[in-house]
Amino acid sequence: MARTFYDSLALNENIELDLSMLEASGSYLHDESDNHSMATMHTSIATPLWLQTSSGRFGIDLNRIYPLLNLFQYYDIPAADCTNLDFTTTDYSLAIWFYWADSGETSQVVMGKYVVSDRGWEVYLSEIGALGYMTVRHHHAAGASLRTASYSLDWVYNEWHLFSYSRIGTTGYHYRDGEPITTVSDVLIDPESTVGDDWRLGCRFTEDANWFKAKFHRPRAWSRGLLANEHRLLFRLGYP
Amino acid sequence: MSEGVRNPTDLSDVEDQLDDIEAALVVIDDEIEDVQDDVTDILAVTNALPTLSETGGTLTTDGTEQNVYLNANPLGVFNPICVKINCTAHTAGETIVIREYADVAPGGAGLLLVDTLTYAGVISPVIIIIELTPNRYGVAVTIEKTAGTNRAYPWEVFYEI
Repeated sequence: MARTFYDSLALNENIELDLSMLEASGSYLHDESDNHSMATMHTSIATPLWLQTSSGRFGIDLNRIYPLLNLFQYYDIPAADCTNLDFTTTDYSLAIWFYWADSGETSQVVMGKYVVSDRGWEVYLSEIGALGYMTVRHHHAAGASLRTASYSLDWVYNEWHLFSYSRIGTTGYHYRDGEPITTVSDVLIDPESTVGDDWRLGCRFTEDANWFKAKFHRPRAWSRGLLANEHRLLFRLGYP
Repeated sequence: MSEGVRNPTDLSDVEDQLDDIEAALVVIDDEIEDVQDDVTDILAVTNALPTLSETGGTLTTDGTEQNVYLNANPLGVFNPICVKINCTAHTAGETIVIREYADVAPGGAGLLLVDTLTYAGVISPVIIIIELTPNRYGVAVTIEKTAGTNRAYPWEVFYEI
């Protein structure tokens, strides 16, 4: 019978993280990339709340139970297991399906590997007035400024969307549901190395605030800039 | 006295040709739609091709029965192939029990025991391979340290999905 191989799919070239969420149970998310960067849930609320989406895939409903309190659920990958996500000078790409559920915190960290104003990269959602911002920010203590970023608008509550991103050179490009969207980008400065820092999903680097209150599915990262057709393919290959 | 500007050219041939081009464009448009239909059909088939994938990690035993590989609720029919467990750290005087579970019906009894393997003492060769079979409703492989010091066991699983 004809088959394809994970690593022979062009889309998977240089993929560094792929939490495909096939487990549908438990506290661990296993990585289909060759890095085996297993993510573990940390929670003060309850066991992970897995959900089945309309298309049958599985996701996690993060910080759902007490969405307005600072009780938390987040995932992390220890620093030693995610050195491949230490993006500094190279291009890179990110993707995640998410369903933004609540505005309980003004700024919610989707994922990142960073220390504020010092090193690394982070992705966060924020609400200013009626506007929902998605921002990808670089931190660089040795740069001409401490932070540079790109952002896009019109991220709304209670809808599934695929956010994907490519950093190519000094510019960040945002995509929603596989299509390019207006992105306001600084001239990005390379972030300093985060080789000693954990990757986290759902909270800030201090693990004590900015909880991501959302459902999410299949976070992924690549150490190259995905092209527009690849972002489109990401969307076509899997509505959650 | 001027009689105005007159254009004596007969455009009827050009107009006929334009009609022909318009008709040809309709035909081309129909053919492009046919091609798009074919592309959509091909995409549906290629999306359905199974992809051989792999994941894994390292599990440190704690004396309880722990999941090594778990797919509790597959999207549909898929083909888990095998789990490989590296037992290099396992020494004499230690025992592990490996169990395989499967769910064979929708909304039924859940994961039920398929097989149990017990390994006491030094394991040689150091890689254990648990072969799995096609599945639709769920599969799991667990490990339980029943005697001796808890150890770290690297593992990987292959599946077509």
